[in-house]
Amino acid sequence: MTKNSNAYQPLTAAVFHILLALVDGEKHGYAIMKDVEAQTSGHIKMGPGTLYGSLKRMQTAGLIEESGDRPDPKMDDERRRYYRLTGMGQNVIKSESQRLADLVQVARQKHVLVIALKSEGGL
Amino acid sequence: MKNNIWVRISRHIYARLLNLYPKAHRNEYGTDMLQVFTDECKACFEDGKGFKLLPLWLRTLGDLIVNVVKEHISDPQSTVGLIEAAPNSPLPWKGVLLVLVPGLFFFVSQVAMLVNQNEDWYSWMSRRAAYVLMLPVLVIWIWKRKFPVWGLVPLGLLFCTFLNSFWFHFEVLSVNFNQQPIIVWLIEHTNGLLPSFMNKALAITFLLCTIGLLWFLKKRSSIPKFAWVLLGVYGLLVILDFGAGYGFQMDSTHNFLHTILVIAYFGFYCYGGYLVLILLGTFLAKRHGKLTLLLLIGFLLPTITSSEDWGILVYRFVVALAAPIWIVRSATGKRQGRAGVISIAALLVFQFIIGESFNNPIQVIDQFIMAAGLALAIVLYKKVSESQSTQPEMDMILEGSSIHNS
Repeated sequence: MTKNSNAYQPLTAAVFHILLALVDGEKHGYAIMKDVEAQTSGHIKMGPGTLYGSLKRMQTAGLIEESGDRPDPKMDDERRRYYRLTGMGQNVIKSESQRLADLVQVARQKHVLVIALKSEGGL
Repeated sequence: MKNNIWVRISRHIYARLLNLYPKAHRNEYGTDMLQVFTDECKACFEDGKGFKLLPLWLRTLGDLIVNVVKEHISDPQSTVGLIEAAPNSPLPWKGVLLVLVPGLFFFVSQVAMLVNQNEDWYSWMSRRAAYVLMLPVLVIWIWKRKFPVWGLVPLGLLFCTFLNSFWFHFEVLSVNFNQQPIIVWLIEHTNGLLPSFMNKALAITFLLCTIGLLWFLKKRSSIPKFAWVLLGVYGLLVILDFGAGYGFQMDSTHNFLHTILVIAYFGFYCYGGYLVLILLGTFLAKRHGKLTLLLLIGFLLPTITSSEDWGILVYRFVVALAAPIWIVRSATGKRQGRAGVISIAALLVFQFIIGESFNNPIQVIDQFIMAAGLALAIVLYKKVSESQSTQPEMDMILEGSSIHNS
């Protein structure tokens, strides 16, 4: 690891969601896009430009890498490119998730989260 | 699933739109992006909700616009021509288009003025366009830490706007500073001395800047002998201009010294700024070579005089569009210099013939002053661009820091 994972914080929404989508395993672009949509209940719908722009920058930063393997060539188009997390990518998503969890904890302590949930009828 | 016709049309259109991305990005990710978009289109129809194609397109177009701009600016390959001139080659068309934006602003306003007699619009353009056009240049400069070559035209225009509109028309958008209560109060309570003081202050600033820049250039031995001759001619013509225009009309009660001081003060107020611009251009010439002539093209844009004569339109076309295209599309070196010289000569000829300057001796001197200034610029820029191409202190001045993104 050449760079501390904290150095990437805070991640942009696009990068965070892509990393989160790749935690489950390697995926191609469209699968990442659909996964992000599912993760956010349809609130974030990435366009191809944002997706591949982010993938390019993440590859350059060493957070992800292209995978040579294909899960099952019969099930998918061989021309698709698959991406997976690198060691650095895994560290970055962990530290970013921890940072967000800490923030949520602070919000809970200050009763901000409870108020927000109540106002939405959650509690 | 067999492709729906709307999916096929959408795929075809998106494939065309992908050409807007930089070539390197397109080659690397174009196929994948098209595949993802096609998958999304198919998903819309598989759900049996073909009408979802419209929101998909709206979302995709927004995504395309934002990311095309982002990729063009952030892609290191695209900086060639867009940010800096590539050595020994003309600017690519995307660089040329950016150079032409200020010219298009002015040319369209001129045509509108001739067709619609809409002088309000023309005034708005001539007085405020520089502030608007300079904004993207500043953004790029701050972002890339490099002054973009296409920013030379707006820079020249901005300099001219400051010089011409310093006191009487200092307007930004709808704000006329000249009518602000504080300024009005100052004018009233200084018995009209303040504008005179400001003009004198500007004249003295230009004089000091000229001396300082000449000293700096001389120290670096980058002033050729011929430039000194042109500088002398320039000074003599300025004195002659004001001697002819104002000196002989001096009140007989004023002595000779007073007359000289008034000529010097008016001379530096009206022409000192032009001289400072030419000398400052030598710093930019370190990076952009003779393309720095675009700075003077930008400066000349507002001199496109108001007239109802359609012949003037030709002159305006040359200044605003034809000359910049020719200069930036010529390869660096002799061709670029020749394009600059011929363009400037053409401008002067147009000004003489179409502007009917022959009838007015003062205007004739004005044209020669402009010609001497432009010749001085060409000589200085040629000398600078032929000398060593990189010097640390020049980079520091131009970039504001030592960070290089190339």
